Amino acid sequence: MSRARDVVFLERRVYRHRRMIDAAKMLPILACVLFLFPALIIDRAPGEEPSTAVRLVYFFFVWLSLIMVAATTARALRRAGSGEPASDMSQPQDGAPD
Amino acid sequence: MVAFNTLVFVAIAYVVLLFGIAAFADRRARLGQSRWLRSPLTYTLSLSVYCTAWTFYGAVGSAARSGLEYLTIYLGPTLVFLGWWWLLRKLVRIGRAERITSIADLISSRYGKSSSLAVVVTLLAVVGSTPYIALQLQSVTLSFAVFADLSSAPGAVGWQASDLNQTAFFVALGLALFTILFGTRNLDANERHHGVVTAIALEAVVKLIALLAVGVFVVWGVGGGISDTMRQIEASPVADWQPDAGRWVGMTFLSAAAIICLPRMFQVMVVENEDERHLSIASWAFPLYLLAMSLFVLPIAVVGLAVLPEGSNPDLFVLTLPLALDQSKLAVLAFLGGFSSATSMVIVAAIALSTMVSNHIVIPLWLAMQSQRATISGDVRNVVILSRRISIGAILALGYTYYRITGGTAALSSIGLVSFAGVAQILPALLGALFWRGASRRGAMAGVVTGFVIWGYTLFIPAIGLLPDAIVQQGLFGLGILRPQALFGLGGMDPLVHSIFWSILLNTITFVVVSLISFPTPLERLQGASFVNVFDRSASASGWTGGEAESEDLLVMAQRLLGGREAQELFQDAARAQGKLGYLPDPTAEFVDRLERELAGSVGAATAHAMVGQINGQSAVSVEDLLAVADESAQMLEYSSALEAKSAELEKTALQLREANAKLTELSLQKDAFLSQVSHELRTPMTSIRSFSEFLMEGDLAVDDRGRYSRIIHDESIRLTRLLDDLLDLSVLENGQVVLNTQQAELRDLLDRAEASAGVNDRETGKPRLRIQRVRAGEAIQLSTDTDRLTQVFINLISNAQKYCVAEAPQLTIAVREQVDSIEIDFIDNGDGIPERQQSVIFEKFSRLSDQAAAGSAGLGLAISREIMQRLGGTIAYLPGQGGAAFRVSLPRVGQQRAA
Repeated sequence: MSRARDVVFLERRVYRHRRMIDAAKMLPILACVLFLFPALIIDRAPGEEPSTAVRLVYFFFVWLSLIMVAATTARALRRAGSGEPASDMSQPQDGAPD
Repeated sequence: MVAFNTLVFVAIAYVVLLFGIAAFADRRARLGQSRWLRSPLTYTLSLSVYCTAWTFYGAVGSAARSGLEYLTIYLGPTLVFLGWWWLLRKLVRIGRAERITSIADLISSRYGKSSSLAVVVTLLAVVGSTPYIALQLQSVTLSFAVFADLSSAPGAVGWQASDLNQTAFFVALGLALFTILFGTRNLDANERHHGVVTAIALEAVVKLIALLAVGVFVVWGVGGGISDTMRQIEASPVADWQPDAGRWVGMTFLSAAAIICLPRMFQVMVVENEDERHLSIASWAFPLYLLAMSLFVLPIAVVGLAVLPEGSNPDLFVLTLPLALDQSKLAVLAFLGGFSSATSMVIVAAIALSTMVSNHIVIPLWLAMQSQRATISGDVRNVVILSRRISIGAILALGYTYYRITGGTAALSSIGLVSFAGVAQILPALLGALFWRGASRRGAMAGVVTGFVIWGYTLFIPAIGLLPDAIVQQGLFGLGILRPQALFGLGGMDPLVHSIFWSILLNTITFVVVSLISFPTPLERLQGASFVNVFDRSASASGWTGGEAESEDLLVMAQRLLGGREAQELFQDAARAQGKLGYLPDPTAEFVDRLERELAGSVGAATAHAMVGQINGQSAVSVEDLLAVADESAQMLEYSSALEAKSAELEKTALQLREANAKLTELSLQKDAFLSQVSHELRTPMTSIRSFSEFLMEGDLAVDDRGRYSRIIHDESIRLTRLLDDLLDLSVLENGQVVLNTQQAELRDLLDRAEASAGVNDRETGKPRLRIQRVRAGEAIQLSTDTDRLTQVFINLISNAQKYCVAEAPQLTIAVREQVDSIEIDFIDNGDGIPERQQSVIFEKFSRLSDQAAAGSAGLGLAISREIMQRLGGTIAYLPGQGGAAFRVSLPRVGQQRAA
């Protein structure tokens, strides 16, 4: 009985670990979009462009948010992977029940 | 006002502090008490060598000139660190697994331990880094000059050029001293430079605090809070800035490429990495550091532009702004921040470059110059260390010379970007090394050289002003399409973006195309596989095959590179692993491979490979060796699969035998049971016949008694005869000796006959004891079969229903259905049916469900019926779930026709 629950627990943990890896992989793509997007919008009527101060606030806001997400992800990854950043292949044997 | 002498004193005191910290950390590390030295925090802070004096002073200058563009220099590295799972993780893992000493070593090691590639990358790194080092010297001297100018008497002439040069010289000398002292203490690059890293971490804190302090002072002390500063930004000339898409994307890409490829970044990020887990913390902590470093840049620039007189150098706002506002202590702190940024960059760059120069240029040359085999001469370690020290001196001398020649004319930030673009040329080869097994040495070489040349022609040489104006305007040889800032007619672009675009594009194309058409050497392919698949390698392929190296020779060589004690420990350890005593393990391929990796940690992969090759007598692995290994393993695979097939076959045979045995055992049991059943069945009538015939023999009986006894004897004999008939019948059927007598008949007639013979009508009353329901119309089917036998089955089923149906008004439904290839006749009564667990045994001999109505039945009826149906090519089966007992007789349709 408890053995069965252990297995379920293990599956969940491996699953969580995989999803955290996905998140870690997606994050730079999101960051790319957020960082490069504002510079690529150029066809605005003169005088309607956002001011430098507004851009400044935007960049630091996005930057800080990304850092917080990255910190959360890295933390979850360390927990789920029991510290060892494992390769995609070796994850199953990685998460031995404790 | 700060006296200049005070500043010099503070600077010297700070340097002494750095020396002290470095010495302390080194001693702690040697004593093994270096837990905090190996923390993720130290690692993250040491990464801040990315933030040089250029970032410290130059970012503000850049912000004053071109608005938010300075952010790109931080956003690129942020992207790389946020994406650590893709790239940096792999880079660090490979760096540790292969004992990589520098980026040139990584490229060379991946592409077949090629020394030529290592030399090219080293040269590229030196050319790219020298202006950068000069830049740091310049920024330190300029910051000194700011104080010197202020403290000199009004009206007196400020610093002369010679003073600046002198300062630069002493700074370079001091840095060389520090680097030599703490950067070449130990040979193995994998034994990390704790002293240096700790000093750099301290400098990282100092520069962060300095910049934040100036920023806080500017925003809250001068600007009057956040909203006021924002208003000031809106009012300043910076407010009109709009991003240029090309430069924005180009510079973000450039800074992202730089943080991967810069030799100093590689040094702190990969070589000095203690623990892979630190990287996951740095993935967010380092972007946070960068964010903090850039937070106040724009406010400082805006306030500087507003407060300082027109024409002030915005590159020095961090320093001049506090001075102008009489905050001399803050200015000194800012000076220390700038000083820290410059010195930490120079120290790490010098270590990284000297490792590369020494391992890939000096040592190979020295080895080549040794006429005799390398085994004879003295300790190579001293030579390597000496060569590194000389390299450090040479690199700083080069930087100083560059500074003297260019005289510090170029704007601070532009030369920084030029430098970035130079090292970015390594990126395609590096990415190929990590992710593409098809990347080859020739491809990497061609790509790097192409990129290097285009970068030099379109950016580097024009930037340092060495290209004649005629070429810039008209193009090389007067060819318009070769104009350095409008290559192939692509004009109108920013020169930097233009250069990045062409150099990286052509670099990548050349790299890919040459890789595709060239064929890599076996060693390249082995290395390629172990780099690209670093995460799932269980056993790395060996690069050495049964050479003729003597362990003793190897030991002699290893001692000279690793030092006596370390080498002996390594050999002893390997010998123990092989199960041998002493210091000399067998020179197996595995051991030679391991030894080479250890040596690579000291002198780089290419040199280590060459040295081992010199002793091993044979240049590593050949195609034939690889093929032989592949062949051998293929044979083994074949053999083992043959064995597997055989064992599977054996298993199958054993299983068949087991099954046959079980069947025989069961049959034997059945036979015993049958015999005992038969004896029992025969015995019962025999017993009554004997006893009643004894009564008759005694005489004196009443007439009707005699009649009754005779009838009993008669009945029992009939029963006995029937039983014997049945047994005989069954035996004939089972042995297949029965001869079928095929006739034509209609099913309806057969059923009529069966109904009549089964005797369903009570003998006395003439009323039917069992009501039979039939749909006679459906029974008009012509059959061609042994009609007598089939009728026997029907009789059997009808009389069974009559005997065993316990309903009050027993009733039997006979339903006939024609299927595509068979005819089904169902006999369904309205009794209790047969319990499920007995359904499987009712067709066995002597199986009677109970004795309640067993009269005249030996339990052979259904067994005989089954045999008959089998002979007739049909089946009889129990049909569950019909309300009562139900049997289905099915006959094959072959040869049967529906009656007209």
